[in-house]
Amino acid sequence: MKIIEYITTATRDIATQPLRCLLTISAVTLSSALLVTLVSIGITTRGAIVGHFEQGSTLSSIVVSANSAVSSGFFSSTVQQTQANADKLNDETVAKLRDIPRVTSATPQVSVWELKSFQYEGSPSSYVATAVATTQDSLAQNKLAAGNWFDTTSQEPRVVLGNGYLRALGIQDPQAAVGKKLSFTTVAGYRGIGAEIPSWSADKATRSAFEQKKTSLEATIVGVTEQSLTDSRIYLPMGWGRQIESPRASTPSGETTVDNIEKNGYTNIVVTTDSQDAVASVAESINQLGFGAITYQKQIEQINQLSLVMWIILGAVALISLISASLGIINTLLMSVSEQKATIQIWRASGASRGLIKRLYVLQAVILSVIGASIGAAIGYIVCRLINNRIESVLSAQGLSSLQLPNVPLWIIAGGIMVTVGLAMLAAIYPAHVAARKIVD
Amino acid sequence: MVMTIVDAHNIIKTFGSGGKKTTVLHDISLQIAEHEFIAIMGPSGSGKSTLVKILGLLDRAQKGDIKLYGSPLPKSDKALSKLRNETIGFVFQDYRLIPHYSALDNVAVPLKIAGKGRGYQKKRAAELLRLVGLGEVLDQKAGQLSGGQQQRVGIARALAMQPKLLIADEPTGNLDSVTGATIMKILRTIHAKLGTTIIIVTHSPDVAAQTNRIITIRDGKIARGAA
Repeated sequence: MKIIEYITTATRDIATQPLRCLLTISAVTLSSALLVTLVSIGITTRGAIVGHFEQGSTLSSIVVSANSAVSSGFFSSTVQQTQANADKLNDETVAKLRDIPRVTSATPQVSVWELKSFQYEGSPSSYVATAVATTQDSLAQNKLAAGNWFDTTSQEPRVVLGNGYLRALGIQDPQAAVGKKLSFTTVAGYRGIGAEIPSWSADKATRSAFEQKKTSLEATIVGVTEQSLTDSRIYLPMGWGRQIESPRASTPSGETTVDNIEKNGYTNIVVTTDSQDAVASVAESINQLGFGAITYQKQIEQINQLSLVMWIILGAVALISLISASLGIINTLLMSVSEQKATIQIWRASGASRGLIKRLYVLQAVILSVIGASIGAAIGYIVCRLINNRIESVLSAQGLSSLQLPNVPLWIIAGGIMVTVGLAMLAAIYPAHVAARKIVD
Repeated sequence: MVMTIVDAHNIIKTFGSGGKKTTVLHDISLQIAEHEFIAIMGPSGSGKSTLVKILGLLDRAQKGDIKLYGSPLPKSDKALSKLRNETIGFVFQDYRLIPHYSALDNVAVPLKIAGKGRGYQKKRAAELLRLVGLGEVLDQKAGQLSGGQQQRVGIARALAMQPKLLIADEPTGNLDSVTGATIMKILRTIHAKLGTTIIIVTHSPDVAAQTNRIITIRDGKIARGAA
């Protein structure tokens, strides 16, 4: 029999049970949509995170921390060594790190958690602030799209805006941001520069009210980084950062200040190597100095492992759904075989071989699954797009647009359809066998 | 010289297994020559239908030999099905049409299986439907036709591949006497004009009387008319 005859015959047989076939197609559609959506989310999220690291050219970087606790293990932190080290990260550490062969720079950074959110000049919206006080070294590493770097020892309130914020702020031209003001809001009870701290003699109510009070700090944007969407940080000069990180207190003998950076050390030191190949050996040297070394390469490995597990779990959920749909196909075909016993006998009496009958039933399953899988893949694609758009808009609104989720790859759609159709063909084998064994009576 | 189409020797057919075995055909031997018009008669359960299914290659005997035009039957289902498609046509008591197919499409089923082109299928099916007097209902769904019309579609379908042997299992059993007579007339015409060998299974002596040879089966054995 010719292929076209197989297709028309199988289609006509399917059309005789429209409701049952519609329900079967619906089940296949749902499972296919689930397969495409879940696998896409698993894979594209991994791609987005890894891409984030790669886009930022951070693969040759190592983040050094004072605390080198925790170590290997599947879900553990990415710190490479477990040697205890009570030393804080200070300028002496920076000097030691710079002496390690193949290290090109060592940049101390301090996360300025006191700055909680900010408003851009002329914008009513408030955005989460990820402020980092930095030193001179970062100037060499980060090129600017507009403006200039500040003097990192300066105590003037000047900032360089990470390029990742531009999208959230709706700024097309980086140059337009230069010279504009950022108004930071601190955490409640902030005691650093600019805060009006209560006198030592103030009453309890005044002190209690102060603990709830947030301070507003204004800074001028002097530059915007070039590093596309991956940079969602606001850079502060270490001098100004030190003032923010120095809480003041009123005492009978006058005002006292604690330099927290001096006291606690830097949050971390970002070490860059001359190439990605040097990362492992430099990290080893850092470990030998007694500091923790977080490599982005290691992080990517961990992400890959985690995403594999996530992918397997999501895939398994989708597969269970597909198996359920396959059982639906088996049921539909078995009922069809039972109801079309006379038709099968006609075909057999007219000279159809058992193989021909089997192929007709397998083809019915293929037609049902191709329709269902195609609709499901389209729905999965749309759902993924909607999820991606929603995540992006939420991140953008918070100035965290660095995590760009890519669209669903075509191979996932094609693969989803193929897996669905393949399972449907497997599901059709038994009903097709039963059909082929029908005896003409 | 008249050739033997079917040469069956010592056919034994048993149903069931273990202690519940029932032998339906006991050592049956039978020759059917070209252009014969045969009636197979016998009481219900005597093994008539089982015998014609074996002769028509729809079933296999447990023991015995069957030769078609002097050649043994192929072992594979594919080859046997091809032989059935090309050599044998079946007409059933309950017509066995596909109800959602048109008369034309029903007749075309054997042609589809044989891989004939669409154009040929249509032309040949229409020609056969006209031959059985159904030129007006070519595109009508089989389920909408009367019993007599359906049986005529069944005959047209059986003739689609120009078979050498046409097996009709009680073709008039579900029809009234007038329609039954029409069907018998069509079968006689086919035998006379096309020279097709026809085997009819029937309970009716009137139908059997219209054939050239009557084989009577009783308790799975040929009681009369084997040769």
